[in-house]
Amino acid sequence: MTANKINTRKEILNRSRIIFACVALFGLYLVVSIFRLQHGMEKDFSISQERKNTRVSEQTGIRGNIYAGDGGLLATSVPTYDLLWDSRVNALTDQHFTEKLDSLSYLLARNFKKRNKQEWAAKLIQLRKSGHRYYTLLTDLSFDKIKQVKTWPLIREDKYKGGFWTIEEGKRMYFMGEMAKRAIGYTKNGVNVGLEGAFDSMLKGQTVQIVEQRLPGNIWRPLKVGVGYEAENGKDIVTTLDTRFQDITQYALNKALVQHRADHGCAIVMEVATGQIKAIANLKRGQDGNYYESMNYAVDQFMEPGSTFKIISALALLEDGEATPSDSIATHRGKIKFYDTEFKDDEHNKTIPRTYTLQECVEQSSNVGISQFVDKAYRNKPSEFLSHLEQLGLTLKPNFDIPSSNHPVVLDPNNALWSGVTLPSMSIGYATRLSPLQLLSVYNAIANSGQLMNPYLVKEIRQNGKVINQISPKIINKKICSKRTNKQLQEMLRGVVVRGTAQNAFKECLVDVAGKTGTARIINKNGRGYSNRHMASFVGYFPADKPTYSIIVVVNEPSAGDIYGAGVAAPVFRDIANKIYSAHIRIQPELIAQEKRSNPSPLKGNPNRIIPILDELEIPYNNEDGDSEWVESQNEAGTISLSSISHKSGLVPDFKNMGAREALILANKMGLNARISGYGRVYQQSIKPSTRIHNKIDLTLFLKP
Amino acid sequence: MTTFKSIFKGDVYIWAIVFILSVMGVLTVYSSTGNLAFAKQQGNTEFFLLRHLGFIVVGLFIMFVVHNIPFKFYSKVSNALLALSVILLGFTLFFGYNINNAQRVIPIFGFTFQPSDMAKVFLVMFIARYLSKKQDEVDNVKVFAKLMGVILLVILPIIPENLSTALVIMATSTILMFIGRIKTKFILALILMGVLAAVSFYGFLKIVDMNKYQNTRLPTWERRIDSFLGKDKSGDSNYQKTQAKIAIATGGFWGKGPGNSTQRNYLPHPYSDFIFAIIVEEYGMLGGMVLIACFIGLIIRALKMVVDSQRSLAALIVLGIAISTSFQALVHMGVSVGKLPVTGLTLPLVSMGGTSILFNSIAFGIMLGISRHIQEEKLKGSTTGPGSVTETSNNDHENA
Repeated sequence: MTANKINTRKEILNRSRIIFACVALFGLYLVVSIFRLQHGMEKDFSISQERKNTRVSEQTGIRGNIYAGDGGLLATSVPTYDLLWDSRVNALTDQHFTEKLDSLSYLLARNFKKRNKQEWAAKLIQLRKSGHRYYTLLTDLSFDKIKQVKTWPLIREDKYKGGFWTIEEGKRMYFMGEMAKRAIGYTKNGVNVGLEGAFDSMLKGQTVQIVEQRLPGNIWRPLKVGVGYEAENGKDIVTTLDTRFQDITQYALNKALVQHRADHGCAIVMEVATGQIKAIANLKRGQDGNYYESMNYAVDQFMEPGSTFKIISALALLEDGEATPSDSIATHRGKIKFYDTEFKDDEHNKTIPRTYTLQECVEQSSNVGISQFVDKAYRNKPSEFLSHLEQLGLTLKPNFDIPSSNHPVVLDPNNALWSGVTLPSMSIGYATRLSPLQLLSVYNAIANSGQLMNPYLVKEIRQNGKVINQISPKIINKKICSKRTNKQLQEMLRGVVVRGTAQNAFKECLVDVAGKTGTARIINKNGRGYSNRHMASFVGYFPADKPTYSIIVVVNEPSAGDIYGAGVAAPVFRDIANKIYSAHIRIQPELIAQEKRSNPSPLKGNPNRIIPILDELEIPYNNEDGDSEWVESQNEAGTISLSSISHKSGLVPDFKNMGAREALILANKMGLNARISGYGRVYQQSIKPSTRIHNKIDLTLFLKP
Repeated sequence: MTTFKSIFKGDVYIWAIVFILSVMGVLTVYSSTGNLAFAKQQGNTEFFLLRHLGFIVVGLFIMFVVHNIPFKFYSKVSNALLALSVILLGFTLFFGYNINNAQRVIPIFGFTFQPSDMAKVFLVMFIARYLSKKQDEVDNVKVFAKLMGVILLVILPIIPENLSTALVIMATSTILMFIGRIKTKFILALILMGVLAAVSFYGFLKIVDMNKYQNTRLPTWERRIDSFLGKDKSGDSNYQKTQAKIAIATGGFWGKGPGNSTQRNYLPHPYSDFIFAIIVEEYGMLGGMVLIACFIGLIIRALKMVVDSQRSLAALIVLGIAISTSFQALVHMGVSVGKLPVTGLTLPLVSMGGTSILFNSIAFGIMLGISRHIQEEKLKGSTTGPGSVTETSNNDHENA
């Protein structure tokens, strides 16, 4: 080896050592840096910055459905989309915006005709000029529409480039029109109305707070996924309402209100044995003269009931042994004075005999008779009379599924307003304020052999189709009076219809009815004295011998002549009773008998909604295409197999066998305006499947169970 | 132990380093690919683990094969492979596949191939070979110029797409030239030119209208440099830097334990560009020091081989590979602790990334092969006596 070579190697080694020293020093520097970071010795840095990178976002499940007791869908939620725009997003240059403006406004104008192309362009320019960063450009778009919109210039670009993004909203849809609208209700800006309001906490999808982490590129990822970290959908509620009864009731009430030019009215149909509300109608005359559901009178209108109260007076008298139905009392030619106040009997269409029995007092609705009976018996012990009102639950605010916003008024002797006239007034239905529902409950108890039921409107709470809470009938008072008293009361109420004030109204009735008329003068708005306005009512039950349903009809301020309960309200009762009786009692004695199916008939819909149902029913199924959005079930030898179906966009899909909710969601996605008729599953559609969808196509889906 | 030594020939320490790096890499890649699995594999977290493990196994196999190949062979094919690398780099520049706005990969059989990883290894071999051949003319400007020509041929196609890799290759090449006895004057001139180029490049970035270059890498570079200089406090680079620092700061001495990193969720590419930060977070200062020791140890072993070996070619190749590998590792670590601007450099053998693992395996295989050669030589030397030295130096000429 030459000396040169040895020197070469030496130099290489030396130079290498220099480099090694540098590298080793840098390694040491790294160790020191790590140490400094770990001991907070770096300026401009603290661990607290970590917090910037998580956020809590809220996610809400879909609101539950409201069903009628017979399966009809009353309310449901379908997703819709809003398009928002951040007009000043950094990456959107003026040049790029100007380039795309023309084609974007052209497409907007073609699809959203509220503005023409120039106007759309002007709007976008104006938004950008004023620097809007959170502007809702389009609302309530269907899934299909938003998919289309997302292909347009600028909108199709990334949120951080074009500035456009979308949010999903749940839109509530109702299918019964004015029917029971008030009872179904709504929730809006914190105002809670009807069932929607009362059951809001159940219907509402659960809102969960999800901790999300920031990933590079401003993507937010939920930290935890799985059960408990995903928003649960709201529960469905099944009402006791029967869509057919509701239809009948609403129709009959509306007819009478129109005929008598009344201000408003309500009607309730209750199942005697259970207290289930089968129909509830509230109508008020609108500006245009038509009637709309706008106030829940049945629950909220606490007014002096008038003569319908007399049966309660009779109940007290009979039960306390103060009188028998055949005890008689002088009529004083239909006029009597308690202190300064004169009580009168109505003389229209009849002459008043010298005496009335208690039975006749109720049948003929004699103010003079009843008030004397009660005054004589309870003048010195009013609290005994009042104890019957307590027993009937009339002194307390009713515990109903839709809470009342008012409360009943029942005076007692300790009250400053109590006077010598109070008791006689009470006995004929004044000086006390009750709601139609309260009064109906009392009559329902008389029909139900003395058992007072708590009225209710919700019979089941379901989650994912599974019943999680079955609400059973609740008894408030097992016995409001003795069997004998109850029998006598029933005879009195039957007498009203057979011989008394309501005999004309029920001449053409198919079914034997028992009930009581009521005609009350309405107190002046200033609270002093009575006006010339009236409240006509009829409350009772049918069939008289085997009571099945009880009904109350209240018509306020009729203005076409007739003001009497017999002439205004009783015919409504009769119409409802006739239709329910002929259509549903006589023909179908076992109305609620349910057919037990081993397997459900073909289903069609989203597997996420169908599979939980099959699981719940423990029905075996094969899932061939579980990942697709829509599946159809086939029933083969006892097992269900699910196979995927696809819907071509632009063509009307085949809705057959779909439930209302599934059908509406699909229709909405396809950009169809769908209406539902009937309930159950779709068996027919107004436009044939595979028809091309043009702009704004209206489709009716016919459903049957 | 004898069986082990008969299979894994060569330097035991380098083998140990390979195993430590591989194990740490597999553990940390598994821990930090959660997000990627969430985004791309529907939460199948094993997908990336298995793929990485697959690459490591293939890499070890390659290492094993390469270290058994006679050193003569790959010193011959390296030139051809360098030429191929340059062609591929040019190809990538025009037809490459876009990841994060940076065109640097070619898709092959479902994998992405980064030619710059390949070019790096063979450029180091070329420089070592060329310098050892020209040891008598190292003062000649022509030698330096020719070498620079080849280096620039490799670097230029990399610059537009991956500036940091280009800079690391340039720096490694400069170090190699320094070690290879190129005149210090030339080296200093080169560094001066580099600084001038960098300053004027930054000036250029400041002057041009970035709106016109939104689709190029220019805005990223500007942001990264600004961020490093502390001018851009809000940008993405600054965000990454802060997240990496949090990872390191919260690691403590013993670390949070395997799989317990939280910063993996905030850091972009925690499995590659910022894997060192995650390692310090999970394995603490201790883990960090082990890794730093591994890469410094690699150079120590290379120096040991230079002392043991009689040939400048082998020495230069080993040093070149060791230094380029360790240099890249230390730059990666420097980025992680926030001492260097954010780059996309991987941690050799640790970071996820197929091409990087494969070519680093080749590099390690070559080092191990040379160490095997040297060991065998020593063994021969001890049996045949001092006379063998001359024989070896003859071989040296033959090879060069």
